[in-house]
Amino acid sequence: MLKYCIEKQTQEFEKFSQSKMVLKSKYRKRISSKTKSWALKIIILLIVVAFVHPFIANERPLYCKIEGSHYFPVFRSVTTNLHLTRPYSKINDFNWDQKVYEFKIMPVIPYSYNTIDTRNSQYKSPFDQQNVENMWQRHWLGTDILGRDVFAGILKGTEISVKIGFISVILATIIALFFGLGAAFSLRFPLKLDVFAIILLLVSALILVYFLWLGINTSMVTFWISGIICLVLNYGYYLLKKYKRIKIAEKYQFKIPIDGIFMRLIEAMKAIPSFIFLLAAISIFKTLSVVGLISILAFIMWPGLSRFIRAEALKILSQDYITAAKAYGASDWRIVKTHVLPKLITTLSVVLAFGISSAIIAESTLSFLGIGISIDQVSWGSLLNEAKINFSAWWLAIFPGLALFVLILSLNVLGEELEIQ
Amino acid sequence: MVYLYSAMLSIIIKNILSAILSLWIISLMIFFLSKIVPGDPVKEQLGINFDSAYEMDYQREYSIKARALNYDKPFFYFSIIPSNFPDNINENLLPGRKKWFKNLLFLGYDYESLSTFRKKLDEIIVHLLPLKNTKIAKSIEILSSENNIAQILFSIKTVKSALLEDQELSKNISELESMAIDMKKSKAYLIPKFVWYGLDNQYHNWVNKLISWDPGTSFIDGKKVNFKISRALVWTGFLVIFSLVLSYSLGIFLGIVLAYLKNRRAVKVIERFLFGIYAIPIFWLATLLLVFFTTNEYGSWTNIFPSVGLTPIDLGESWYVRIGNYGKQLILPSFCLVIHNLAFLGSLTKRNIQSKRKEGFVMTAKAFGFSEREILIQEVLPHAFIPLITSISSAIPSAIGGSLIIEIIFNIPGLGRLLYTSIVNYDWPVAFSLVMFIALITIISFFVAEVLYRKADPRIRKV
Repeated sequence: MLKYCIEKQTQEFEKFSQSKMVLKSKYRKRISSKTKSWALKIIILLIVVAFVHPFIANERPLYCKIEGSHYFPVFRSVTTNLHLTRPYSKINDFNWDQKVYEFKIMPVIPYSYNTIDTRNSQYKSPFDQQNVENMWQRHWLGTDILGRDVFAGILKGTEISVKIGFISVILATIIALFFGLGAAFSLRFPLKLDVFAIILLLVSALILVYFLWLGINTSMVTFWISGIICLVLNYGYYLLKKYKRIKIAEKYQFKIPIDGIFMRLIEAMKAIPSFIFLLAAISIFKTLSVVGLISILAFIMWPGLSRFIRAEALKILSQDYITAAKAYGASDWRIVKTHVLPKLITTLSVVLAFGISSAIIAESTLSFLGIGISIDQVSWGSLLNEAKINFSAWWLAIFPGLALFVLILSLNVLGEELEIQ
Repeated sequence: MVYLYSAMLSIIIKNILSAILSLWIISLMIFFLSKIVPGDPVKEQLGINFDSAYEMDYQREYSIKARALNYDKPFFYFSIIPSNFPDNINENLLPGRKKWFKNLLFLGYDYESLSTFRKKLDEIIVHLLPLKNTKIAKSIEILSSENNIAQILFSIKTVKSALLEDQELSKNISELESMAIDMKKSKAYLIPKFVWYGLDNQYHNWVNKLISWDPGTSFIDGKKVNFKISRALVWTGFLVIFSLVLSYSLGIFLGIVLAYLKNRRAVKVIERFLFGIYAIPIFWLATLLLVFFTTNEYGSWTNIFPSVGLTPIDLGESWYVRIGNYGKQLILPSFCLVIHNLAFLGSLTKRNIQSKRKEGFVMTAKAFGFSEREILIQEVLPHAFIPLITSISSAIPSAIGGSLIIEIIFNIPGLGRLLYTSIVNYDWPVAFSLVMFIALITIISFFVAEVLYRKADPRIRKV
């Protein structure tokens, strides 16, 4: 018997490792075919720019030597923004162009997104005679009314766009996976509960909502205590049922229409056009931080995503091997982990690519309208907004929009390529 | 046949029921939103801040106005509240009063003793108001608005020490002090109670008003909301319908041409071009058109279209005269809306036709000797249109959403602009009625698309 067990285990292990190998080679294949596409390269480039833009465009020198001591101002300012270090104590963090340097290395663009170049204010075109000392100090993409460099603004805008687009979609996917998979599971393997369990759940939900409201107004201690009590009650009933048969409970059992409730909720959410929802949400919070905007976008995107995930998961769950796995006693989590998620991710990646592009468009539209994230944040939309004020400044209308267009286009192309695969 | 029709009918009824359910959920969500928005609606309606000397008059006006707006009613049909709360806390209409009570009730004070305390406090404050410019001004302010009993007690003491000459007032104040000390706390707020209000509540009234299409007046200019919406609807309706009709007809035509074009290379180039157009954000396109084609900045030959917002929109004329007059202003906005949809619909139609052309029934038709055109019209197109019908259901809401931005950029007084201005100016009756209205249109379009879809495709009629 023991020998048989060991043999079987080694067989399984071999199979498992083989399947891993196959999976690995598949991934390698997919990645290698992806790297051929220019779209992915551009997206990766823009993500890199989003992270390293302070090193490309900055008014501070990359490296400088003042009064015999060495400084790395750009690096120090980045780490200071991350609350890792403190700013230099000997030199102050402004008027970088008026300091006396013994030696300095400037970034490619010697302007930050908020550096005001007073000599080149009032909309200097890229082809105009610019009031600069050498070629390196030229504003390659022009300036706005205050004399801020447009190229530096575009680089800073990349950060906002990439941050909001990617993080909000990831957040929405996590919510959507939870709800979509839950709905699909409840449709495939209906959740049956007896009367007492339903009553207990409803009552504990009511209690939790009440004490949450109370807790927000007074102190959260009552909420936590009530939560623990509800948990103990429900789990206690579960254990009781496990060890003792309750005849009435076995007689009155009901299917919980989780899927029906979920679909009605989704339909209601989809009926409000997302842009209107965005406007309404923004009106409540007046001005938004980046985190606020990300969470609102995620809240808007999750219904569509979860509907898609539900449909795809239903397709996978209706296969025979899921029934077999269930019959073997595999847990729901195991089914999700080994059968549903790996298949889902390939189809999901297409939707995610388009989702990211729509999130980026939403963000830039909002900042174009002058609402949404606060004014001191530079984004492609807010740069385009300046073009609306002065029609003669064509560079303000073209270049930020072009950056936006390139990112959206490459995301769409990537989505299309993934779909074909 | 009879079976089919009855199945259709049951599907329609089912869809109507689910649409009503969705609308109900939306109305709940919007009502909840409307209750947590910033700003005091009654204050906005009154529009004036009274001088502090007339504070009593202001408070009276405030409560009259709030009662007229039904703010004294409970929010919903029922509520579950702590047991030391009164049945309807909304009856306390005066500004800031509800919050005062709520904060103290959450600390566990009894409502009755609190309200007698407040009454006494109000009486004394009326007598204290003439003294507002003296040293004790700050204490008086704390008395009238602060909801911390310890602070109230402290300011009572300071006021008392300042007013030793006035016998009657100081006697009243010491009574108040003893009341404040006597008030007892309990843990009664931990036990909830259920209160049933019946139909006379704010939500019910709001929904009733919406159904009878009379959602109140605007905060900003006092005009009726339904008048404002119906006036703006003309423009948005025109933009949306015009752009949808144009983009669908052009898109289908483009798709058919692309599917039957022999030159592979040209097809590929056009498809790439359409894909590129689809990636242009609608507001960037609008900005580019505005910058380059409405001014003399880049030579007089580029100044083709009228500038935005120069000609005021005449309100007196009927809508068709207005559209005739300002049609030139609508060319660029419609172009923006059409070109975005066109790219999507063209490639969708092309893909559908191509996939259908490979199927067996087309081969059979060919074998029977039908011409290409007959096959296209009788066999391929009915199949290729089915996904297009489902795309209408999402096209209408997205067209409304798109027209919002276009209207804001091109200064067209449609629904989008109205929504934008009302949200920016905190004009909630207009904003929330509009959101509800647009949601209704969207749900109707979903419903129509569902029915059309089932009518168009006999294979799924029975399901």
